[in-house]
Amino acid sequence: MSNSTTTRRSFLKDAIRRFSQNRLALIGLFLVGFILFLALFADLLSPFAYDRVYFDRVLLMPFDHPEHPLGTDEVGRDYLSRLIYGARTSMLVSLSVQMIALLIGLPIGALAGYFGGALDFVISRIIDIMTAFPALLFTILIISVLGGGMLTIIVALSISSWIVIARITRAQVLTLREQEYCTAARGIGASEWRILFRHLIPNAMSPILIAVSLGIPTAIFAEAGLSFLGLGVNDPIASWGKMVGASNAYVQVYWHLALLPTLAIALTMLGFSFLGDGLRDALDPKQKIRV
Amino acid sequence: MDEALLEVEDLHVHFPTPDGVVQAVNGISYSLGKQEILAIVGESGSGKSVGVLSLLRLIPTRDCEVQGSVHFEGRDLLQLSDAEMREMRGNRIAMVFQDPMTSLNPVLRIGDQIQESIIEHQGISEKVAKGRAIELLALVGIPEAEKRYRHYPHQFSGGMRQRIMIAAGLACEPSVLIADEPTTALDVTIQAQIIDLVKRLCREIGMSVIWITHDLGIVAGLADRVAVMYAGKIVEFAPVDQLFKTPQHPYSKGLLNSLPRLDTRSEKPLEAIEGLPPNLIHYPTSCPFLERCSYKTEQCQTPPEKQSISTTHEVWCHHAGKL
Amino acid sequence: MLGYICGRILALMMILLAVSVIVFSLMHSVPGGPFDERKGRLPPAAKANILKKYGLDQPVWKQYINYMSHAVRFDFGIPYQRPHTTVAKLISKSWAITVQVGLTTIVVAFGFGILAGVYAAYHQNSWIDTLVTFVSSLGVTVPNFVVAMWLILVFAVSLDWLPMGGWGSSGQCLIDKYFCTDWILPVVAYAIAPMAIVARYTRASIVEVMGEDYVRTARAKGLSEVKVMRKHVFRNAQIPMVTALGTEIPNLITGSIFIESTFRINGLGKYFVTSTLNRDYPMIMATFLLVAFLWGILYLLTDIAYTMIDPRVRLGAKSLS
Repeated sequence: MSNSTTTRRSFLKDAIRRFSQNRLALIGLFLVGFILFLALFADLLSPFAYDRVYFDRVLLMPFDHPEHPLGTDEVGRDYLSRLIYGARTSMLVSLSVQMIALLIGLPIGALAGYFGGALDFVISRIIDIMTAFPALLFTILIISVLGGGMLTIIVALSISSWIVIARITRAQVLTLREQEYCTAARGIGASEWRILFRHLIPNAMSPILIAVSLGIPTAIFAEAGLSFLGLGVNDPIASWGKMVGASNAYVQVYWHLALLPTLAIALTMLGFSFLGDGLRDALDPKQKIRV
Repeated sequence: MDEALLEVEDLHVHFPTPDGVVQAVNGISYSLGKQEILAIVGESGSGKSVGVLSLLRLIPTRDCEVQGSVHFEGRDLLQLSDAEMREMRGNRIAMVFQDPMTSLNPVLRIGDQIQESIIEHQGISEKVAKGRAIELLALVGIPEAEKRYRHYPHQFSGGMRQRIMIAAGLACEPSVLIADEPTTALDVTIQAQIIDLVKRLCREIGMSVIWITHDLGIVAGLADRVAVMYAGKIVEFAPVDQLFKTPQHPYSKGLLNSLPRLDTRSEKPLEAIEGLPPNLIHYPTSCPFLERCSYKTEQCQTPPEKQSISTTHEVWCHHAGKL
Repeated sequence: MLGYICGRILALMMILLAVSVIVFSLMHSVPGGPFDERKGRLPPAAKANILKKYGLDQPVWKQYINYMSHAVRFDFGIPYQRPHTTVAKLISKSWAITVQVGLTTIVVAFGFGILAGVYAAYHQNSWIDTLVTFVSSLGVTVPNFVVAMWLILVFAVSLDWLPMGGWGSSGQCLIDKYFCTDWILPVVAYAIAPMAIVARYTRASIVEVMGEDYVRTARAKGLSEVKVMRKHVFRNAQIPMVTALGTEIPNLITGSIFIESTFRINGLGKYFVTSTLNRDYPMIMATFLLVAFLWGILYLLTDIAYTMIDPRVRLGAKSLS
């Protein structure tokens, strides 16, 4: 027992060391921290409310007006404030989607992988059908049925995201349950549930965490993309994707309307994928997992 | 034996690395006679594989520095241009590698892999080459050669694949076949079959063989002469029966003592050679075997010179003939 | 082989059936539709008339059977948004454009991706290699509509070299109405992500294969460098490259929606978005069936490509496992 705790601790220590020596991962951590900071304190940081409209200050260029350092949009809202609140939307959607996906996908995948049989068959077929067409199209279908809005998007994205987590958990549990320590635990009379929750799931956690962390940029992309197409969050909530979509008509003159939110999307996604890659390299040095 | 086919003189192979220069091979010399089977024996890292790979320049030249000379058919292999070297490889000197599982290309039919060197070097048509490939398959003992010609490597067992590797090596009737631990990855019974095959082919075709191995046990029934390598140097060079009967170097002795013997019922436990070979980056100025030698004296602080026990038996030890 | 393909096609049919049931029941499970009361009141008689015209007054299962019996004859009904045409006509018209965009992109992405990957593999750790690695990690991460916007900002707005949108309407074309200047930006924006992935896979697989024992064997046979590369390295490096193709299929299908929307191209992707916004069920249903079909066929083709390259993947043996 003491042996296993020391190996566990040194594994964590190794992982932290590998992570802190990875320059891209640290850049990712910094970017993610910054975006999360913006999202959390959007009310304090932004100079104006995200939906405050100035009818006399429509389409200002950056630095045109001292109160609007990044200009205003086509209906006269402060662009800086909308960018900051956009971080909140993006984080709210992507983090809650991955959280829900984890809460649904982990138990379902674990049960299917561990108990097998009819349960596994049904879950595997559901996964098969859900992967029969692109996840984003499926999300769009659900949105077309439920209508747009923040909540719908979170629901729709969660429905397609849990599949990834369930698939990875199932595969992990399938391989792990054949390991000797499971047989050993069964040999000393541990119950099936105890084996599953005390032995299998903790050991399967690394790849699942990696999948979750790499799922975040996917969810960010999905939210931004749907809002860009006009299928996302409703007005007046600020979303980077929607800002890019709206800028399309004005881009020839008001370039900042397109440039600023695209930069925000790109930096956020880069940050999260650097962080996710760094986590993968740190937790899985042998690179067994491909998500 | 009077006329050497291949003559290696003072061969050095060094690998520059960020940590320093790895001196993998440090001045080895040997000759190979016509129709002779020469075994080079040593443990992993002794430079035995690197020594032969560098003969054919199969180690990328940007990775290593090779010095010395290798005379073959009146030319120095190390001075050849890349094109001339290619003309040698597979044509005059062929190679068989250690792992038949990974040394054959999985996506090509084995027939294709056997005949490609014939087509490359002799410029004959694919049809003629195919006939030759089927002959070769039969020669190395693969049944139903005609049918098997069209099969892929994964359809063969390890021993069969090594036969295919040998067939590919023999394709151009080379005068030298270099076999780099060809039986290490195989079962013992298959090992014996491959050894018999090579001996037979050597007689029938009249080629010479350099057989690299770490297993002194298989050398007895195979080789004419044996070179024992340690830390990039040859420490003892002798005809096979002399080496087995009267080994002169402490390392050769140790290797022989670590072999299980089936002919004598001895209660004596097998002896292992204690310790590890020296670091090849900081090559010792003393005798390289010093650290592990049970016969070491003051003398051994200087590297030993070659001592001839007889005209054919050479050893690199200060205490040669006195053990 | 033939049996395997038949089995796969049968499985695809089952999936299509499942997809149609799911999509159909989802669309009919929620009240509201294109003739929703909220979008403006209709006289009850007119509404009943319209519902009857589209068969919306019948029970859902009957509507489904009715729909499917027409669908197998490629009759997908009448789009709500364009009552004067049929879904089949609208799709076949917009489909042609989407296929042009997609195929040009695939050719560009795989052509340049493989070239860049091979070059980077050959010149490991050179500045080109670093550049390929950097651009590919950007291309994989940043969404294509973001890249598209940047390209528009630079090449259409700032430099004014290329048109901002359209497809085949710029008037400057290579052949008739094909390969026009307005093709360049959409294709580049669309191709960057798959190109990046192809380049990465190509580089990684070539580097890996070059270190294989059988490549050393091929060199030991005295084959020329070109032959070693062509016959031994590329053949084996193709296997992971086909995998790259497989993983890129979903991105290519969904990518088109964004590209068509950004560059105002009247392809299938744009109609897909407008159908969703208008809850145009016949259009949604038809596009979903089409995408699921396309997706299944593309995966089947990738699997067949695998078996052609890699003799170890024998179809018979694979179905046993």
